[in-house]
Amino acid sequence: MNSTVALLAAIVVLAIIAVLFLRKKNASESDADKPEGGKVQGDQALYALGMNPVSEKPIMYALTTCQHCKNTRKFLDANNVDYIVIYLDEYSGSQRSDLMEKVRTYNPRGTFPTILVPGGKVIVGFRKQLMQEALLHDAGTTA
Amino acid sequence: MTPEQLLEHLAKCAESKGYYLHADHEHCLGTAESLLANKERYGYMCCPCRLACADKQQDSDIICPCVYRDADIAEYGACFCSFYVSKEHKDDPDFFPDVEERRDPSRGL
Repeated sequence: MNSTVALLAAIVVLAIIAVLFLRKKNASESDADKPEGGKVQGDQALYALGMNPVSEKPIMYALTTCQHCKNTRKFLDANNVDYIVIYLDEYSGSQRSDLMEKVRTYNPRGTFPTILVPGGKVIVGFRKQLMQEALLHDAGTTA
Repeated sequence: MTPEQLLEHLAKCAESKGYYLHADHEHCLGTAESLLANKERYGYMCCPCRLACADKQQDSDIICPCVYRDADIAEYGACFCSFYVSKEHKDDPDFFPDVEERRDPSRGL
């Protein structure tokens, strides 16, 4: 009888140890998936596109807080231009600096918005006339 | 603090220096909301038109009002965000000059 109780107790103890071990393992794997500093990162597909900006649609690098970016979006939306927006301030750590470095390859001042137009044109800032010329007059560049 | 309260406070501070907030109230309100969002995000009211690196020391030149405001207003009549304007343009809601970034790119990210 005593040996049965001891066996059951040993099984329970081993089960508890196994559960604790697995929980710790899962927690460390989950930490490894987190970006630097544990901060939330933006959409990873958009990050990949931002780093390799090849698209039939215009790609706009922007900030969520930037009024010039908001005005640009309003203008593009009002003119039914289909575009992709990548908000750099939604990323942190190396992803944020990687994207900024990429923006500087098209716009050395690193200002926002920076819009890559299919065909190679780059529009910097809220520039209605340039957007009209590049995105509205050229039928081949709007989606 | 609400965006409206922030605007009221910043307008008073600006006027004491001879500057004014932009005449487009919607633009100013959006900027004030963004300043408060940055305060929440970084702990300080970083310029909403520039990408912060989230280090206060490194971002110190772009905490609003940024150190470039005076030179920008002197040259263009408005700051980089067109948030602060000179007396000459204080009543023009359509005044949005293209203000060239004068911050050294090596300072930011």
